Amino acid sequence: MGSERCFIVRRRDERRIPAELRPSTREEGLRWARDWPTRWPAGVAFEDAHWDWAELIELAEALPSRFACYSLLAAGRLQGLRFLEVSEDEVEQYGTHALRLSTAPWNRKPQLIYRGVGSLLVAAGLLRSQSDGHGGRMHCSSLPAVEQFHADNGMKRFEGLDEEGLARYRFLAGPARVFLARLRIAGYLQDP
Amino acid sequence: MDTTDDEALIDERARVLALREGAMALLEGIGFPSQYVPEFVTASDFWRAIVYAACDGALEGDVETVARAAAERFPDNQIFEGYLASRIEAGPTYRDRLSEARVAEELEVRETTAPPWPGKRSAADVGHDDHLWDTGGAAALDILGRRLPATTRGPSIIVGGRVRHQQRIVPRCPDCNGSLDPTTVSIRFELAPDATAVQDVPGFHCACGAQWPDPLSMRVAHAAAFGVHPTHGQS
Repeated sequence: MGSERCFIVRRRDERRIPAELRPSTREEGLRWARDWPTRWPAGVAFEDAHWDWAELIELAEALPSRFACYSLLAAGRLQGLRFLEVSEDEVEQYGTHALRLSTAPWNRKPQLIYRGVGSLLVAAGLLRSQSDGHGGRMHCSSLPAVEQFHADNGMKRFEGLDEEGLARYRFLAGPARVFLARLRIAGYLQDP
Repeated sequence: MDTTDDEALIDERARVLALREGAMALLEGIGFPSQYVPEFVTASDFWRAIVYAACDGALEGDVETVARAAAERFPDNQIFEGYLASRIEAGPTYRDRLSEARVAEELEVRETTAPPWPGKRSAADVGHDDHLWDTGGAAALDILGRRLPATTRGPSIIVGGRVRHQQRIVPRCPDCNGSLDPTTVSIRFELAPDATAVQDVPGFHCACGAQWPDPLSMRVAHAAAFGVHPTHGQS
């Protein structure tokens, strides 16, 4: 991720694990297909379990000036994915459009193996926004289960709902810098 | 089945049994918690599950403990070789590796298609795919045989927001970067705590021993296993 190093934390023993945040390739589509669909905890309905990440990766590769997809890899596995819209669709007005974010099944309840995956994937959008000249501004629609995450991390809620009835949130430049600074203080991001 | 086939099957079963017994003895020897030991169906899937469990903290000493023991007992085990070779260590970032590859003129085209972190935003290149993301409607329009706007980008053709391949690029092996060949991959879904479903789906295999289900086939299989229509999901 840029020139910064990334780490996630294994909850069992609080050990920091080196991670890599990078643009997704078709190979990560294979990792997703092999390791995620078979690992969704039985009997638990996750709102994003049906998303086809292999296709989103293809879309980002086909239209790189409109979309971007980032993978977080650690311990030899695909730990999470982030899909962004980097042009059009209110990007000029509100910054990078964060479309999708998923963490691997083993990073969710009941397993919760690693900590920091979701935050680093949020950071991927903010860093991309900074890189694209939007100053870290980013907006997204929020699934109900993660609205609290957005509110807790300084995102501002839009008035009204999107066309799918979901609440919309956005990072302004200041809260985005604070969010990234907190990740650095917590050790998830580290200057080289 | 003739006698030769019978003997081959017996030999294969004996080999699998020997592998399983050896594997169990190895894990017992290093104190691997029994609750994390998966069912032994194939050596490849078995060891992969063991490696992942070790990575997740199932064993003191991490995956190296398993790898050292396995290297002594199974010196030709390609799963461990491939896995350890692919482990991501603290080291050069992706950008550093790209730079090094460019200097060494070893950069592959597939790594240059999307700039990692472009310094400035380029103009949008979306032309006729104004209905991008209207995928639910696109499926209905497909059924009705309506003509849909399409865009081609390199090897892909995009119709109604769905990426459809004009010329499918077979990825490299994510574990060892080797070439992949078509095969059938057996997939097990955990439907409920006491119910599983096994499906054979098209996929790829690598000389390193890794097997990869084709993503599209996997998505269809996943939807079928859980009785869900495989529509393009929207949040």
